[in-house]
Amino acid sequence: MKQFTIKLMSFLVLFLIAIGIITFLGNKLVNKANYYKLSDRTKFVIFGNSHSECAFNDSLIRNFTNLSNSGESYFYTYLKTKKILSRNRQIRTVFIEYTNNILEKSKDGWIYDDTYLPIRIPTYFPLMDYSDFKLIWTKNNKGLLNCFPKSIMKNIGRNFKYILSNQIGFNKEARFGGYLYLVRDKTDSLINNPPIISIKEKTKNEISEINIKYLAKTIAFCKLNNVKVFLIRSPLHSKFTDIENEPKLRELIKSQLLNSEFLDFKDFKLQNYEFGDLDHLNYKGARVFSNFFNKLLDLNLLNKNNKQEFINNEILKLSISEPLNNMVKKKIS
Amino acid sequence: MLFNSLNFAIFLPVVFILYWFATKGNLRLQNILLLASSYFFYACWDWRFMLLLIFSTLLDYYTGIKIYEAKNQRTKLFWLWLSVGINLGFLGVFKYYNFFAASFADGLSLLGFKSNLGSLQIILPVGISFYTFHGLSYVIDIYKNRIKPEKNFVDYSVFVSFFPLLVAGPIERATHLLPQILKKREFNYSKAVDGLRQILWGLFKKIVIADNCAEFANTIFNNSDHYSGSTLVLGALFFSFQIYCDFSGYSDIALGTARLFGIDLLRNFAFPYFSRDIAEFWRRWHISLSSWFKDYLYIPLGGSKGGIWMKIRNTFIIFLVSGFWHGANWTFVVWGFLNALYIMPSIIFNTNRNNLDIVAKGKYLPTLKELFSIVITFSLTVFAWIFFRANNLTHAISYINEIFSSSLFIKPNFPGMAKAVTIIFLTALFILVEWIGREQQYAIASLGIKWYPPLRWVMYYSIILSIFYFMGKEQEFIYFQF
Repeated sequence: MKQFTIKLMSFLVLFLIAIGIITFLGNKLVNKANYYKLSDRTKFVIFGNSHSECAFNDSLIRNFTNLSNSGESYFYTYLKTKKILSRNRQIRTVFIEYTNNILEKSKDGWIYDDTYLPIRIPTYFPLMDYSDFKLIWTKNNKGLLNCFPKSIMKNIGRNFKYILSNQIGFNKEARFGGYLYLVRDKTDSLINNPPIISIKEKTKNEISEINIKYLAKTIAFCKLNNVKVFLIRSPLHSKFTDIENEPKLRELIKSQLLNSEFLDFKDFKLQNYEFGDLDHLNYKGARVFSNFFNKLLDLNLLNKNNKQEFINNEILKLSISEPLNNMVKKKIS
Repeated sequence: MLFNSLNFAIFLPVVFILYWFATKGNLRLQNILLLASSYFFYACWDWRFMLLLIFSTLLDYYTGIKIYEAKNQRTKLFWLWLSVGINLGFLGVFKYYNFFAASFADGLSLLGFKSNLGSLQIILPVGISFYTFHGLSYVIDIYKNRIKPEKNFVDYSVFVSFFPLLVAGPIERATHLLPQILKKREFNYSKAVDGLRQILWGLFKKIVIADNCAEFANTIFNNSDHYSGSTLVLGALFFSFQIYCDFSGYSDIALGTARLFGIDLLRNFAFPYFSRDIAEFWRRWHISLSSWFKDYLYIPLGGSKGGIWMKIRNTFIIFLVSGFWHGANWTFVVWGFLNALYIMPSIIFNTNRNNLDIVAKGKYLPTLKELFSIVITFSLTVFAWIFFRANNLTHAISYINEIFSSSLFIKPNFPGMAKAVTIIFLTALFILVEWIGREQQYAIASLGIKWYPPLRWVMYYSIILSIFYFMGKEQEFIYFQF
């Protein structure tokens, strides 16, 4: 029994020490390398959830990188922002997707529930400090413990791959996000057969304080580093009704989000077939919207005094010229 | 509490330490501890079903004594049928009531009538099929005078509820397990190390192979309308390895865990995918259930003694019942029927005991004939698994129709192909290790035993690392639902 206990303990201790050393050295090495370094051309980045992930095709927008990720909460956006900005001094402007649904209390689960933790922790644990761990630990200690061994292994695997491949730039394996080429087109079917909303109204109308706190921290961090920050809302379908918390969304900007500027593209007009569903653009919609957004940046949107008015006018112009364009196209064909 | 969960990773060492240190080798205390921890283990799922487990245990304990003490055959038979009736009654209500009610309603509606039999909103108590069969074998063995009843309730309860086998077997026999429970157990170093090794291999099978194959099998089976025949073949293959590694992985963990406590459980799998015919497959797949059906159903029905027709009838009966044991769905019944059909040629031509030994024993490679037989047997098995996995018979038939269409020759394509390639590579590596270790109790039983110790540790570390690396969300074992 004694022999068994000693051997088993030695086996486990040696294992833990080896893993600790490999993780520590691996993280040191990749942090020194350009693991989080984006192209020098990148001047604008956008962070957010699936809305911005599907809406901004960064190959169509000059000097722009989309680092949004489906189901991402502001807790992780904050960690990502800190890392990306510290490694990419060339970035002067940050857009953060600010939508109605991310503010809902029910979306707290995106931070710590069992579905999201195994996806987020492997990517973010090297960037987390004691308070971040503490937050997740208090909400879902079992989930954190369960996904931690896997996170360490994933991290080691990624570091190895990165070091061995001798990459110079940003590590796409880091899964920090990117543009999502969404193919689906189920807008018509959703309009004809609206799904039954199962979330309890009570929870739905509550606001996620954790998310707001971390969004505020992200904004403050950007401002502290002299990086311009804009809240932005991607296009939504006119039939999308899940915006009951709109007054709260507006009010929070003033009360907690340092009066940040809000660029609202909610009413950008697109056809049904250009939406993947009521709140996500598919690749066709993303193409139209990204070209439009690129044009606005070229037209110096970010230095206008009344940005929202400018955006609305440009949207209006587009909706007037669109029927004309269609008529011309029809004539030609 | 799942074997592949953090809870179990804490639970097992705690029970192990208490078992070997706190009880100081006292058999009474060891059995009380095993019973308490088994009940705790079971209560972690749903404490309410504990009452059912305790009732079932009490029933078989009491009827076992009554059968033994009965003065005449009539009284013996009364107590036997009381136990069998109540045990199967519980199983029927919890597992099959809704199925029969729905089938009855469907049948009546075909005749133009309407049934008022409603469905019950109940969940299936985990492990009920397994502990019910434990209890049944015990009372039947007493009735047949194979064993004497156990008078000590704690010892008998440990036999029924021993936590490694409580929820998904192996289905133990009183003749095998009870004597071990009654005998003083002392710590055995090599047995414990072997147990740990078997647990490690079981976890690898479950977490690395089964859970990852499950991801693709689910994607393909759940959206089978959208995929080509070739992709559906791949889906069926993924499921074949999922179910094998899931269930045999569970059995390995159960056997390894029991060995840590000095108890040997019945072997449940013996490399079934290397079988050369279906009869051999069924001697190697879920051995404890196959032998249970053989001893308590096939032989009492007359076995093979009444001529060829009796043999055919009895074979169909045990395969159909075996299918039905897996779940209340016609897909399982068809799966059982298919296997009965597969085995018919060897029953009719009396070749079912041709391949008793392990394939290519003492050799590196099989002969071409053996390889051909293995591939044919495996293909038949994979085909039958389609029914096992499909949601219903219509789904299974449309799945098979698509396989046998021109789209069979299109390159497979489904979401996550890149990861699937990694999993296919790992599965191939796994098959190789299984082939090398096929003469052992489990694939890595002797792998690396004679190596230089640090090298052997590297092998263990590699397995642990791969488990952590490929670990996803905790997935339940498939056989928990049965």
